[in-house]
Amino acid sequence: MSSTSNPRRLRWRVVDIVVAAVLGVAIGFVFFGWNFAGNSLGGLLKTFYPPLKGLVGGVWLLGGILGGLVIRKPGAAIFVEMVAALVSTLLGSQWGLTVLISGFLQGFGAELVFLLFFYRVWKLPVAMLAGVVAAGFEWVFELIAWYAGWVWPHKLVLGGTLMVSGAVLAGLLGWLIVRGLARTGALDRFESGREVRQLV
Amino acid sequence: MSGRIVAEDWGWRHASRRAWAVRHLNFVIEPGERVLLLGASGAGKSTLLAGLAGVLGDGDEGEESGSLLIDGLVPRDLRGHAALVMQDPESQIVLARIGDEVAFGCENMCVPVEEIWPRVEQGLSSVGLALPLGHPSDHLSGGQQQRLVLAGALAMGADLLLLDEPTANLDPAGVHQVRTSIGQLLQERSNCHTTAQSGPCDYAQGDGAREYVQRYDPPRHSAQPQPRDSAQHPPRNPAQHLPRHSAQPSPRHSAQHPPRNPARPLPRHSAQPSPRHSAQPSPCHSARQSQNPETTPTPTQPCSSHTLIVVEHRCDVWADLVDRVLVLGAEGLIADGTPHEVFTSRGDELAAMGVWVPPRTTTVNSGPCDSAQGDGTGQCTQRDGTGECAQRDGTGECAQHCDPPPTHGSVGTAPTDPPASGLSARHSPRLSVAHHQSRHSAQPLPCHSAQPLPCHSARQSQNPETTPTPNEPCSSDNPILSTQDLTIGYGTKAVATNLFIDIPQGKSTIITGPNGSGKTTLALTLAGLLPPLSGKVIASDNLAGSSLPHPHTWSSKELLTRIGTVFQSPEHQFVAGTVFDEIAIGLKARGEKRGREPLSRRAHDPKENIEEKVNSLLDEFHLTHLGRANPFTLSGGEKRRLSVATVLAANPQVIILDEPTFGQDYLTWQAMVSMVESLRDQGTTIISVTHDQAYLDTLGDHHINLGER
Ligand SMILES: Nc1ncnc2c1ncn2[C@@H]1O[C@H](COP(=O)(O)OP(=O)(O)OP(=O)(O)O)[C@@H](O)[C@H]1O
Ligand SMILES: [Mg+2]
Repeated sequence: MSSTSNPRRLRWRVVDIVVAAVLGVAIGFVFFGWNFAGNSLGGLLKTFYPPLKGLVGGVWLLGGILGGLVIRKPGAAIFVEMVAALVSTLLGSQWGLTVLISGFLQGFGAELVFLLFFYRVWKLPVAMLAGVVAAGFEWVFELIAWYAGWVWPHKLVLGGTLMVSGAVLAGLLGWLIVRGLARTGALDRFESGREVRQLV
Repeated sequence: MSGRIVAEDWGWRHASRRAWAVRHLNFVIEPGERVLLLGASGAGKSTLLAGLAGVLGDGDEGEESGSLLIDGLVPRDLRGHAALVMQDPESQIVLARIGDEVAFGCENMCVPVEEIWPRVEQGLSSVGLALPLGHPSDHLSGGQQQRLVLAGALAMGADLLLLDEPTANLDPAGVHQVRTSIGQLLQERSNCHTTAQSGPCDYAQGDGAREYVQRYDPPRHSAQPQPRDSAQHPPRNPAQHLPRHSAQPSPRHSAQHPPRNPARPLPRHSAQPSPRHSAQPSPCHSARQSQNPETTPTPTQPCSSHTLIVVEHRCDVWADLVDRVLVLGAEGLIADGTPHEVFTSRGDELAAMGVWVPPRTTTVNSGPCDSAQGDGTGQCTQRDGTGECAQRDGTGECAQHCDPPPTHGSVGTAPTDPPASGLSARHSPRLSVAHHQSRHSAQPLPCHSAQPLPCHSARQSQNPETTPTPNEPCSSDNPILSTQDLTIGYGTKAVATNLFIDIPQGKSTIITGPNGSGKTTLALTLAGLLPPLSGKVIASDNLAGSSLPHPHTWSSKELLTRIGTVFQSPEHQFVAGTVFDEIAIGLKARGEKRGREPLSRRAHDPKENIEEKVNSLLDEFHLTHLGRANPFTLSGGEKRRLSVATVLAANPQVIILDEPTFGQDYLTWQAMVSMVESLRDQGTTIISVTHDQAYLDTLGDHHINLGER
């Protein structure tokens, strides 16, 4: 593909900025909804075994994964996740401003993985790995912020559940969403969209 | 920087396409040339203009081959050198009020503040847009949008004027006015004097407004700042808000002019002075000179050669303004020369490829293009200026002039028009057949309009059993839609009042009128998409079935099989991800509805295979190769054909077409007209809004002129 050797490959175009922002806002609404739905589901799981609540955490990592997979430019993962976190905070969230910290760390985690592959590989395993690493950063933050008092086995299981959730609910789900979007032609101006639709 | 444009084996492939939009282009356009760019729909004309304006994007958007340079520079790095009027004017309007919109280009060209508003006013008046500066830019008709964008481009005073079908949506008076203004502009520019050159503008100067003379002051010769390397401070190109590229080579490449394409004859520029390589005039200043033609000392040599490149399928408008014609083909240029050379020596070949080649019987006076000659319909061979038959016999017919359709070949033209007889046999037979049918079913020809015809003959032959009585009153007595004291408009603002209109059933009605006279509003109101402000739209019982007889009260499901609408702006009706699906949607929806409409002729359709039907429509409309493309990525003409095809596919009883033929080349125009004709012959009522005289001549069974009321 000619674009891989193109020096402008990693530069943001206007359409990248606009779509990233729109994506961020849309995901912000998803976060807002999940703050209730996911959180009550997590509460339910918690009654069986507290660390299980990590299983719902993946949805909150979607912004970074989707941002990276759609835009494919440096910073997209952090940007989209941050916008989403900000929007969900403005809409009102039970965790207040700490959401912004989470948002940054989660986006950063995903970004790190995409960087690791030089913003060249966007396959499913990479997406899932990005979900796992994002979950890892979130885990560390939650250990410090919320669960400092937990016993270590609980802490470790929480890390495991968060990462599984990150791999599935952020990585796999995000990858599927991008493919679905691409099928509609909505992403035709992005490499991510054209890859799925093939040339005509 | 009056740019010399050099294309060397240039090509562009849009990232989502396998095929190159344009390829193997080799040409040189000297500053000051006026070029008409022709080519079939989809040949890549708009792509080339976008390339020249530097808005094609980079590796993310597509793949480039060869080089396209202006004064040795990549157009992308040369902001503000070109004023581009895009094919879809709506996509180019950014600001809320029309005055600001026109000023925006000037601001980005760093025109001094006090000069901007005079320019804005002049720009608006030169395109005939007589609206207050504060008029909201989203309350404009299609033609008014086009005028607004043109005004902005003219006011900018850029060196390179790139116009993509700038008159496609204009009424005839507007076409004339725009053409004249552009002619004048080019004239003024090429007459101005060289001594008054200034340094390139930059943003700092824009603020120091006192430095600049007022509009009608004599030009100043000395107090201008020293020329600076303009490439270091390129004004922003308003068409593109991308981050600026910093490391740019100097624009002064005097020694770097690549050789001209040897194949190209030099009709008139052999004595052209070579482009200036010192002290490039700033875009700001050169335009200002043109503001003072009367005070300018005697012109000695062109001070700033303004280049015009215009794309227009109907070239008659531009014929005497351009001095060169380039024709794009699939693999590079297929013709290049003066209009006369190109049209006389290559006409047949070009017509076969879909270029709207004008008849070449007239010569010097009217230029090679003369619209009054060929109507492109193959119906009446001679018409007078009004589009009527020149002679009629006692019955009002003009029989001897309506030659029977040829058995092969030429559909579409007068015998005095050789290119048409060279039309490929591939397309003609089908078209001939369509004309045959219409003749034998006694459908009204345009020249028959004076004589009432027996009604329903076509419908009877199609489905005898569904027509209640063969001797039904004539359709004009039995309109399928009519209006009573109708006032149309948006919100509370009336656009037209006291309309009493009858739309005859099973015929083709054409609505014409000046830009902004309410044609589209009327069409939308008839279509049931806009409620009348007062008065009524009344549908016949036949059409309304069991619902109320007022289209705007119908649900969209009900509308689907009753009235289909093709909007002026094709994008407004695209809903699917591919061209194929877009057409299939109408067919599927229609399939669901089938059988529920008692009088519908659809009940008698053979059980059809949607895929087959879509493919045949794609074929009719020359879109087969784009079946899997995203509708939004089509060229202007392709989008138009797709939007017409989608509505034809749904086959409602009434079809409303708003500017159905804009952007069409000769072949696709014929295909579209013959489709519409054959639908009409099957009993569909067609209502079209158009400025296209040839279309009116062919399909104007009934004519409503909103302007004359
Ligand atoms: N943004 C785009 N993405 C993908 N393909 C495109 C895009 N724009 C145009 N094309 C394709 O490139 C080809 C050339 O398009 P272009 O718009 O340059 O044609 P054109 O000569 O201007 O045609 P028309 O007379 O119909 O306006 C067409 O096949 C078109 O479908
Ligand atoms: Mg075009």
